[in-house]
Amino acid sequence: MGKEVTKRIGNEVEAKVIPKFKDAAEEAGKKYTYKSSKGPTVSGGNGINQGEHIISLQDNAGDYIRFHVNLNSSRNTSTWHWHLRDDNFQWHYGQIQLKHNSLPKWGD
Amino acid sequence: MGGLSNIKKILLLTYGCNLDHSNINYLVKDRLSPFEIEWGNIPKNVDGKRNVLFQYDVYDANIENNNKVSDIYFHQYLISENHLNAFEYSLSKLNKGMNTCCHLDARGHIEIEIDHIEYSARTLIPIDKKTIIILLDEEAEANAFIRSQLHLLPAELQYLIVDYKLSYDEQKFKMKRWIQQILLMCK
Repeated sequence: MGKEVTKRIGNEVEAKVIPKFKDAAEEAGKKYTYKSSKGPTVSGGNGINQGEHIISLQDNAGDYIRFHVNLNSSRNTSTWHWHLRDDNFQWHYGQIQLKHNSLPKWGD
Repeated sequence: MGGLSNIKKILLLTYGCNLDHSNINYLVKDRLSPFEIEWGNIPKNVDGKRNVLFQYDVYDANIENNNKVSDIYFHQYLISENHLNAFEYSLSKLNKGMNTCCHLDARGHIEIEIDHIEYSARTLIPIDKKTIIILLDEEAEANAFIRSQLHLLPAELQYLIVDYKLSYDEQKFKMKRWIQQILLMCK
């Protein structure tokens, strides 16, 4: 998330989001064999993806679960969710919404 | 009393180009705001007729206009089916864009590569599950340019609708052809 973002919402993410993400990852792990992960790093900007992608877990065929976050344009509301390969990543699961002060860029 | 068991979950999507944002925002404020609920928290003691967990989403092919409505999606409402029908009717009277009821949680992603460059789109699934609506998003870095040009293209290229029964690979193939057409038009 970045130091500044962590300072602002880290505790809330730890309390409300991470447990659900962990449960979802464990559940998906029963069906797929974890091989690697793909995080939010990109080549441009501050090196961190500013879109929805946080991290995806992969097996030999690629992503099997993708953890995402939506941020509104005021950057004061975030909606955390995940997608599964089972339905071609077409459905949202989780949908945890946090309200907070306007956040800086992810990674800052 | 309302209960989780009889709750319908609906996302209404309005999409088109250069939509009537002034009136859309007015309708959201006037007709929906009084019925907003805390996200994901359906009150127990509400009128049983309010059985639709509702979200509204707007997509404008003109990205400058889209920025004016991108926050609408972040709100949830609990309304009745009559209320939903009336809201949809009011939107239809604006005579701009299309309005489609979709599955609330079906807001997915699809990515393709052309010449090793990734393009991305988001997908929505109408309630009748006959089609999938594919809209160019702002996720992939390469999307930025074509997304900014979308409103200048013919209406039939501003979004893609595919058969729900297509496999994921077939959806990707259709999306790839669509993006290739857009890239040709943007040259």
